[in-house]
Amino acid sequence: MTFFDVFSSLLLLLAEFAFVLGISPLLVGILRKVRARSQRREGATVWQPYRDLRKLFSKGTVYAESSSAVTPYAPWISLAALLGAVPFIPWFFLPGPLGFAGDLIVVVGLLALSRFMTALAALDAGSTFGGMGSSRDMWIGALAEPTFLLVIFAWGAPAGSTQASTIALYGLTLGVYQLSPATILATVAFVLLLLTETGRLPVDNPATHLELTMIHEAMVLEYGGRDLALVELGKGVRFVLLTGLLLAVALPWGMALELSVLALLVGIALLLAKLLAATWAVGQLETRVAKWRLFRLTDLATLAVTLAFGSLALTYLVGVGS
Amino acid sequence: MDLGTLGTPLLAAALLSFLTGSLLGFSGPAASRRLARASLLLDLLGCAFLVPFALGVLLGGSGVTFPVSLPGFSTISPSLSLGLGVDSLSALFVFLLGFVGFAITLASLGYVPEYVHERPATLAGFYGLFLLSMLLVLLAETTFLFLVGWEAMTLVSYFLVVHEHGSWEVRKAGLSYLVMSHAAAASLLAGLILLTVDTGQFSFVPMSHAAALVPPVWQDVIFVALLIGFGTKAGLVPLHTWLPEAHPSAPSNVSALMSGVMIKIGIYGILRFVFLVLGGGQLWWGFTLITLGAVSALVGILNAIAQHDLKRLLAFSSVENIGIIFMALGASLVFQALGSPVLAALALLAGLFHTFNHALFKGLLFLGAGAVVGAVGTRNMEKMGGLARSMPGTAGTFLVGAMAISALPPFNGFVSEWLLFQAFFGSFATGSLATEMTFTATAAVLALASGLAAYCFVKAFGMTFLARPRSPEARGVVRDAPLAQRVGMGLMAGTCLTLGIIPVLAFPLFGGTLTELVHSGLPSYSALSWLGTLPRPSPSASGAGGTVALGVVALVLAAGILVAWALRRLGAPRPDPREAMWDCGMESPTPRMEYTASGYAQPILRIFSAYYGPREHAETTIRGGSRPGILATTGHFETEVSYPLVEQIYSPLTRSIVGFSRRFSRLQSGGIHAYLGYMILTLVVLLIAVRVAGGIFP
Repeated sequence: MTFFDVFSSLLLLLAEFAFVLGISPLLVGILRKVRARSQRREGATVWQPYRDLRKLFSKGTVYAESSSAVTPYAPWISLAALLGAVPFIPWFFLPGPLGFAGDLIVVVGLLALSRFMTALAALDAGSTFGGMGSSRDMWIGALAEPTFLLVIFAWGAPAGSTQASTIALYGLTLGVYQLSPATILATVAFVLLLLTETGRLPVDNPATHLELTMIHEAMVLEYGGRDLALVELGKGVRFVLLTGLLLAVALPWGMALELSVLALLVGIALLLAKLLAATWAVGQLETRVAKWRLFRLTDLATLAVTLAFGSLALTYLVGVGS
Repeated sequence: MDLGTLGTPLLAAALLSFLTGSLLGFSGPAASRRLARASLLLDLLGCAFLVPFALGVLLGGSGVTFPVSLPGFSTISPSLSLGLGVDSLSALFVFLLGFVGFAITLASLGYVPEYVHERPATLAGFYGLFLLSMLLVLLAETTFLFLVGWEAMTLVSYFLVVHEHGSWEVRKAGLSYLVMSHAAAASLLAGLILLTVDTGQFSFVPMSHAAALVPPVWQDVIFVALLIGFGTKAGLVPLHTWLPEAHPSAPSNVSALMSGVMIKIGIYGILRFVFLVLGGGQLWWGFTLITLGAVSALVGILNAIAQHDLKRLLAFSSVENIGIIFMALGASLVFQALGSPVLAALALLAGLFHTFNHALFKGLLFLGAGAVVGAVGTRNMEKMGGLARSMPGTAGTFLVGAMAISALPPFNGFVSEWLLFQAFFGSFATGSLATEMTFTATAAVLALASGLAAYCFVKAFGMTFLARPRSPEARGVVRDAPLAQRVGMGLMAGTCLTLGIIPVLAFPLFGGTLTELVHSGLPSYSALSWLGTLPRPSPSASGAGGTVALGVVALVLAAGILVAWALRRLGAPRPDPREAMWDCGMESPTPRMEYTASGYAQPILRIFSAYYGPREHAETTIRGGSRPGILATTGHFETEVSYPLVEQIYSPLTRSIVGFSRRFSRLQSGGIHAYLGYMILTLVVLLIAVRVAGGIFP
């Protein structure tokens, strides 16, 4: 590995971090805008989340009297865990800046780490709502985990790897045949998972103001100022991560396969377009369902697991690596 | 310095240290703290000797068995072998005993004088014997010595479990442990006798050569008998019922040693006899282990969630982790039977690494729980809370243990589960439909179990250490655990983190065992591995395997923590501005309004009600007070979880055994002459039986 390789890898890595961090508020803004429009409201501009973040970052923080050291550190660790997953997902360059874009199981682990820290922080102050949100988020997350893993297996089985870059490269060699019934089933299961993991409707209503129905919002009631900004940023990053993963695996077309300026620009532009379209689609999906009763969410989890198993069943029948 | 030649003296020194340590514990007044400390120091020394001894075999030797002779013994008679030997497998477990034992003993030096109020010196004496007996099992090279060591281990640990025998519950737990252990030992004895008779060998090495000639049917019978014997000791469902009773009853340093090391000796037994002596056996053996493992993992974690007794929760979580290890062992057997040694090695590596990791974090968690229970005076989490501020050292290390056991990166628990997921994923390369389906389903179970484990340990940590104290006792805690205990826990926590970032540090330890057991070495790892990159070997040419860059993860996380720390040190006003928490406009909330452990677990109890069958007791009294009829004055809510296995199988079984035994209680006259008569009678009957049997089967 030459110095230039190391340098360009680092540069690409930084570019990916910057891309994910930079675009996440925009996607949140778009989600809100789509929602507002579908409710016949004008809604705030799509740039509003940036303004909110700037406002929050300039504020100080206040902690609850009863909280421990978990509260100030949790948002940082939670966000860092999400950012730690960025190099493991191919964004606009294959096979990723580190020469490998690591394993998807580590993405599952990092998302779990982020959730774990948030759930702990929710318990820290001792407020009832925090406990409620923490308990809810953890069980919903636990039920989502088998789906995540089965989807990874279903996506990865034909490619012979659980590595996102290998799956994406394999998909590119298949061309349009990549959209096999097995892949489609797994992808639908993943969409359900995405709604669950990012706390969108019908799982959780991010715009709710009623504490009793909250899941994620109830966990972060105690946060304010800079810490709240981190939490909000983290929510956006979580959405970008999972959407980006979905796009990289299901629609890898257009990614840069070589380190040239043109290919990279095309890759970035296409990724941007795909992300915007996917965000719009999620927003549309979200406005067409009502929030489900909390304990009906087990049905959603079961449905997702069944879809993933169905996808795997097709894989078993068709065989692998034929 | 060649550790190989130092092996014998190191081992002799370790044995001697444990022996004198335990003798010292028994030699004086039982209440003497000084004696307890001296005894434990000798045990610490013994563990310190074991570590280089085991490393010498693991890294120096090529996994050969060499008989260990103590000076003096071989001169009596060359044929009188002591029956002790070491190979890679036993050295691996000796290393586990030495390393984890060292950390636990170090912590015990703080724990025993501080929190054990009854007969600390006696406890220390049995503690040394316990270490010694476990070492004996691991070093035994013949079935006879193995059984002697096994029985000693069971009996000594029984005495440790009933250490606080003033309480009825402790005595009951001890009895359940003793009875189940001996039922299992009977099965084990039967299996080993069959194995010895069928092969005509006492010693393990010639036995494994002869085992291939044993008829398959008898191999199956032996496998089942051994599985019952070792599975009970390991805590495999449905033979685990003693574990959640016995582990919480013991003093916490003993719980740590039992959950950390002793139940792993059950795993050692499976590896020794099923893998090594019987050579892996049939395909169905592997599937049996996987199925039992998956059931154990789910049953263990679901029961752990329902507990509000902190130590019982940890004990049930041990059942879960034993299940994960059994999944890995089963997967390894299946791959071996299907002729994929590389995948068999990967699965076994996952199992061995998880064995090691679980010993570390469960030992750590039990020690942390011990400090908390000692400080608050109850094991009930509902009476804890807010301890992160009064016991920061304990809280910090407990948090590391909780994250590691929840399989979160960058801790070691994640790495072993990652390896296991990769092994399950490898089933797609075998081309066997049954294997693919079973392994993907098991992987889903493993994913669910680790998700539920995270739930369980957010609850355990949150209810114990966070929020405000829920009882006057918890509010009264002013002191952290003793220094030695914090150092011991810190050592384990540090190892959990180090092995989570650079797992390949530990891999050379497993290489010899993998070659010995599944005839395939370690998955290759390049120089990049030292940066925390862990590749999965690709069994087929098509796949690139998987890679996980733990170093990158650790780096990003470290950066996050550093930024947080720097901002808190430099930018923010000190101390932090504090305000009352958000109370939704109510009157100032009291700790009674906090979420409780039962409340936290309630959704899972409801979702899995088919399993739990929760019975809720709620009573609320609405009367009196300043505003009559509006606010409840007293209230009580309790959930009780049914335990179908115990209620429907074990309890009737116990009742019928007790009833049956009662009929014979007439024989118990209490007179010694009658007992002597029974013995003579038995002897005569046995002699006649042998004679008659000899006539039938010449």
